[in-house]
Amino acid sequence: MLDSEKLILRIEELSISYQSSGSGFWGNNKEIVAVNEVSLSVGRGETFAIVGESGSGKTSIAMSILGFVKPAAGTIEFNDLNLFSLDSKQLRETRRLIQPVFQDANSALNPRMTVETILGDGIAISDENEKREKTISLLKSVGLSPDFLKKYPHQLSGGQKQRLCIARALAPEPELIILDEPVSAQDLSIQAHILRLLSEIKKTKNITYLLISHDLNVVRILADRVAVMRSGIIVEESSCEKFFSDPTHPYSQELLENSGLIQRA
Amino acid sequence: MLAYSIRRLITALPTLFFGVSLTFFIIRLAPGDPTDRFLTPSMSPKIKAAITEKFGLNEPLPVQYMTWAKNVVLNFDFGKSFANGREASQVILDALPYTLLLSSLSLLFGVLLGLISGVYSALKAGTRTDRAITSFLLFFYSVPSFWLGLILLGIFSIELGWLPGSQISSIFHERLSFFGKIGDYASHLVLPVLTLGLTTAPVYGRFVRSSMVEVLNSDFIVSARARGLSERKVVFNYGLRNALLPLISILGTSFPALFSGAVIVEVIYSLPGMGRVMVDAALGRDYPVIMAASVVAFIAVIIGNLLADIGYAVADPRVRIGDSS
Amino acid sequence: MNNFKKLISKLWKSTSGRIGLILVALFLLLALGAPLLSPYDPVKQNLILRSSPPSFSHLFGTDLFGRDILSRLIYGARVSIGIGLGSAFLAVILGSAVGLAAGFLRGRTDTVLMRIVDLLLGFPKFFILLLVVGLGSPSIWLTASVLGALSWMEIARVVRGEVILIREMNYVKAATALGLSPMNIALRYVLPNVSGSIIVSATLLIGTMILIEASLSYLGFGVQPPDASWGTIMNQGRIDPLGTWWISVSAGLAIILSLIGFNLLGDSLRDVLDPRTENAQS
Repeated sequence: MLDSEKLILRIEELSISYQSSGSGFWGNNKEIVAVNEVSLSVGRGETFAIVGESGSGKTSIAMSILGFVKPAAGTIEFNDLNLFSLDSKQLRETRRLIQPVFQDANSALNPRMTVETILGDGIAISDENEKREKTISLLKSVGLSPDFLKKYPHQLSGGQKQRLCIARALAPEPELIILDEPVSAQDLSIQAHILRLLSEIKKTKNITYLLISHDLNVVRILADRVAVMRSGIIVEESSCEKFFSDPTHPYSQELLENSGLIQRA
Repeated sequence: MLAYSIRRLITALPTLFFGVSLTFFIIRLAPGDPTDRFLTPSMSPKIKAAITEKFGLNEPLPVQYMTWAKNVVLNFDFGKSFANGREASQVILDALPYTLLLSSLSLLFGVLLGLISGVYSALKAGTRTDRAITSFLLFFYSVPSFWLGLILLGIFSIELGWLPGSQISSIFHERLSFFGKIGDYASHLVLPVLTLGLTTAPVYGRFVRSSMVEVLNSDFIVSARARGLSERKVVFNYGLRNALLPLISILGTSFPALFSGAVIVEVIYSLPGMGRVMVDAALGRDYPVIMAASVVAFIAVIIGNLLADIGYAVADPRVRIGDSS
Repeated sequence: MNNFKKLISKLWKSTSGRIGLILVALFLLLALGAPLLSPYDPVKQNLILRSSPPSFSHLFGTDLFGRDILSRLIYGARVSIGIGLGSAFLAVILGSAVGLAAGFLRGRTDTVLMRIVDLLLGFPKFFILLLVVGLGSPSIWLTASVLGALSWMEIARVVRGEVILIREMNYVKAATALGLSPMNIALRYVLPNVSGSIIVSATLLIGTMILIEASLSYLGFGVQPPDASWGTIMNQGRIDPLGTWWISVSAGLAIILSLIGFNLLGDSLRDVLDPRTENAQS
């Protein structure tokens, strides 16, 4: 396993459940367990992928790391800090180090803000000129030209929007980026470009990725380690090479077969 | 459902209490004095003081409030009208039936008219007929009821003399037979109901049209048509039923608007209902009557909201009753 | 400014949007330019010309005191439209603030605020207005304030519902992840995206406010002389509605046309600002 000093994220016995309002006249509240006592560790600088079908609980884990979903039990430690024991000011500072990139870039960009404001909000520099320089360099780092500064999201193409989202995630100089299905809403040709961009960013900056995906092709390109989730639990965790060459759990084998990445034995 | 209704009525009690209490203090703190009506400028302050004492207005406000509240809760005693010395509760109870009659007849007329025009308009969506009905609805949606009342009164009562334009019955009402009496009431109610009904119909008509258009474009209607069901069946069994559900819920919440509409119509046609009583009481600072009327007005709104919620739950079983959000 | 132009041109495309824009612009113009546009002094009495029907010198006739109806209506636009705008403005401010706070903060704040909204919605509005406005000698300001203070609840409900939806959008999550303060997010990320619904409700509310004010003034409870709203002017025609038909008809038309204007504009704004159609065009 990993060296504990090099850990950036440690999740222990995390459980997440949702209330579903039942149907019927009086309705019955049912509790649905989305994540069931999951533990995992992510090392600094690696790309850790959680794969699974929709409803497996992988997005719930991502949302609780980002602080949008309150877990029923368990702890999440980031840089050895328990995220649930921070006060609101500490939490806001820590949050800047964990940034999300969402699947649907359309809903991830405020339609009423220009590109400059969207990126500017993530930059903690008060000097206007410096801020603008930083904004332009962010745009360049994701392959967008400075001409976009005054544009609104709806004037951008799908691929450009996702690049903008990545730039925004980079703005506060985070240590961990959570990629929630980062390319699955994109056309195939754009997917390749975005994936290449993500690999490049990873190489130049010392950033850790937590990749949430159902697409094993994406996982194979980006990930170092893989955890397979099914119905709220992790059924298999291994290195990327081992997972793709020699999956142990039957469910992993099934996933690989369905994606056409290995032949049925 | 009964248990729910009772619980809702109990939770509405604070609204009633708070609202009525607030009204009590608002009317006392507003300028104007009930003694004004008995006074001419030449009257001595002594007489004014005597009148003030007679009505119990010289006590501190909180004391007056406690006395009033105690009498209402324990004895259902709202005090006597300053204007004519009658029991305030009796003044209201005498007027209430006329308002209820006017409101319910107008509601019936308005809903029927709104329903028919809304459904027809939706079936003809996009055609000239649709535009004509929509314009008609928009016009009456924008017409003040007092204006329509005045115009109808001027044309049908004053100029043509076809219908009576004031009071609820004629002077020789008592000498009429039973059916004659009903006919007499009816002729006096035609113009008021027409006025109130025509100005409430667009509220429902516009609503029915938009929900009917939505339903008619929905997947299950399209598939019902594809299955070869007759147009009649599609429209009535599938379309109308689903379009009607939301209408039920707005019926109850439109009670207050209906009530305020009735006030104006009653004043125009000099009907002896709540509207007339409320306007006179407000102008004359007749505190006991104002307070009795306000209790009735609050109860009307509470019942309206309750009916809306029940209607909503009955119409759409997915809505969980008791869910506050 | 650019956005405003685009909005106008979108509204102009539909017939109802065009009519709404023209009518609203016309009435705003009348209200603003009253001293320049009215042919006579609206309060100057002329006892020789009492209750005279429309003529070339007095297009809409004169009232019981010989005052020119057209001039009175043009000045009345200031009062009626002014009260409509003022009270709707107050209602929008109150309603948006409450709706935003309730929908954004949720939890206990939401429960308490919505309880208050439900409580106030349970008030018989017209009756309270009759009492408050009727018992005082209401100025234009008081009338507008009371109307606004009693009419913000519907807007609060609409705004709250929208805010709850917007709050779940990923751009709000992204902003939270950037460590922005809740106030910053509420005002810069959530509120601007609810503005469409606010504008629509506000426009429709202006019409409703004009109507309620006219009803109050017609009953003699509203604005007091020398100020006159359209309702006050109509009140003069009530004694002999057909004998002095020009009073009721012209004042009524002013009310009806302005209401049609604001209602059409509101309906068209709803079509244009509907988030569903807005997203589709991008």
